[in-house]
Amino acid sequence: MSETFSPRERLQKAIDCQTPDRVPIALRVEYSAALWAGMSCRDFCCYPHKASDVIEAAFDKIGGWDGVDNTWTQGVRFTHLEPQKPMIPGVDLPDDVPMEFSSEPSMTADDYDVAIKQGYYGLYSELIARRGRKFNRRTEEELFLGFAPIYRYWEEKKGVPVIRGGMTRPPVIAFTLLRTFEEVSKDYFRRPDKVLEAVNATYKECIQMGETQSRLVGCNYVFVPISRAASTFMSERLFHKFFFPTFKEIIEQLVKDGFTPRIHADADWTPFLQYFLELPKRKCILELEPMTDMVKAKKILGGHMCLFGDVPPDILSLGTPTDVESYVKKRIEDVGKDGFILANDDMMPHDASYENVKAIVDAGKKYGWS
Amino acid sequence: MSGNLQNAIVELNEEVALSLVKERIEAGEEPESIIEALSSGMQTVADRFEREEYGLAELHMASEIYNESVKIVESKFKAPPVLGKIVLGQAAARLKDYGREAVAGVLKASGFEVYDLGEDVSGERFAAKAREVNADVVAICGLQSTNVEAARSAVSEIRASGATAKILVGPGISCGCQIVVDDKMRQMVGADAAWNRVREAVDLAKSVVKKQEAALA
Repeated sequence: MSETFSPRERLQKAIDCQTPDRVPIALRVEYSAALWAGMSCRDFCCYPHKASDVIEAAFDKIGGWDGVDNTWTQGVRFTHLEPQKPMIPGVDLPDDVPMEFSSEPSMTADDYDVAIKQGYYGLYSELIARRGRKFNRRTEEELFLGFAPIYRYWEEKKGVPVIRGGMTRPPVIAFTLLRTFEEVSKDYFRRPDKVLEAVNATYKECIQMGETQSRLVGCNYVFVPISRAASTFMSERLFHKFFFPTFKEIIEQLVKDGFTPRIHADADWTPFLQYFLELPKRKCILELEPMTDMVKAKKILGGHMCLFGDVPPDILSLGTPTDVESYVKKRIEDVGKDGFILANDDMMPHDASYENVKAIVDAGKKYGWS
Repeated sequence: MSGNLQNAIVELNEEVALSLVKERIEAGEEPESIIEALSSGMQTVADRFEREEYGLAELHMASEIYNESVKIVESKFKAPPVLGKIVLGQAAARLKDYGREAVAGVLKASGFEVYDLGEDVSGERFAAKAREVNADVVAICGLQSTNVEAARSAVSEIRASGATAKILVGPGISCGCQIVVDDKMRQMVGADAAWNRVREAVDLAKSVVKKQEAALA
């Protein structure tokens, strides 16, 4: 079959919930690319250009796909923008494993007041300052402007869209990362008014953060991780009270301002799928993993929201190329070729085999034609 | 009265639950019946979690109320007898498991003495604790695609240490690295049995203890 769409057109057609020439393929290749190329995980983590180079080598060897993730920014971005203590491969960890964060919490119950008084940027600045580092809008700007040439390289030289510019976490998602999920779980019951006040005081700046970062690198995809609001993590009552109203406003504003939200929804969203019908039609990507019933998701959201997913990490680490091909074939049969982007689910495990990752692309190019 | 305490846990009303526990102790009630009411409330919370009416947030809060309540009871009375001893923890993994504490909470509420070793637990630590407390069960929680090898190695070390505990394994609730622990995965890890839902963990632990009692009888 011959390709009649460019990668950008193919992705856009899927976002429009229509059928492109072939199902677009987007991979989030991370540290596995470094290990395939014999590069240390430390180099992948600390040097965005080197990380981009090994992803490009994998991209070329595999034969290309339609959307790349900005994982080359990950180590530097996380080290500068996150209050948690980073654990760097080759420094704090062995050199053949990915970067991690210490699980030590950064935010206390009293810090809800910091969020209420100083907003989202103020909270992050304060928590990062406690770790002896500096964060403000200027450091953010310098960091993302530094990434911009790599974005341009992929877009202009390789002709492949980068499908993540900035990132914004809705407030409760950010709080669960900063303060731990377990503590915020208790806060929902012990100090609900305080949590809600902090949510309402910060969500508008969340939008600004995602938009600013995306503008700085010239990419209109904004990554919005929401996994810890899934039915796995909270009841519908908590979902309504602490998450959905402001999340909806965040997504509506991003769309209004011309951005494409990539709503990253790990864990089980099956009971909450109907809520996505309240978000702007044919403007967002919803990234699911196998815990959510993708067939049901298509039934409810088909024609309304582009689905993205979901080759699971265990198949990439422990399975065979045949397992991957069977999974992709069935997924495309189940979900159809309209409004669907074939992708690996969430982070690619660092021990994913090259053959298995190549099998995603091969199977997508074998079974995805319309 | 029993209904009120159960309901307070089920409705996640910490203040009411703790004050009812204190009232019942002051009224001279036996500790066993107070613990029974608390456990019954936790079982209902676990049922709601299984039916997806509650999420992990509710399960964490219920475990917190249960643990606080049991502390109050135990500060006044000798600890009630336990069904069996379980050493529990997560083998080293890249991603945090959000389900471990919830599983520990439900096992405690089901009458087990639970030694939660936390995250990143080595085979050596599992084995040492299992031998120290003469555990009936070692429960390796939080199996995900990033720690199958670590779990397999932990199982080998526990067995090599001479600990007699049965080894159970269950999946993690993390983001993006979920796996279903089927029989093939259980065999890969080398565990005696596997659970995929919280309830199954409780049933498996109970059946281990029951078999051990029958063997001793």
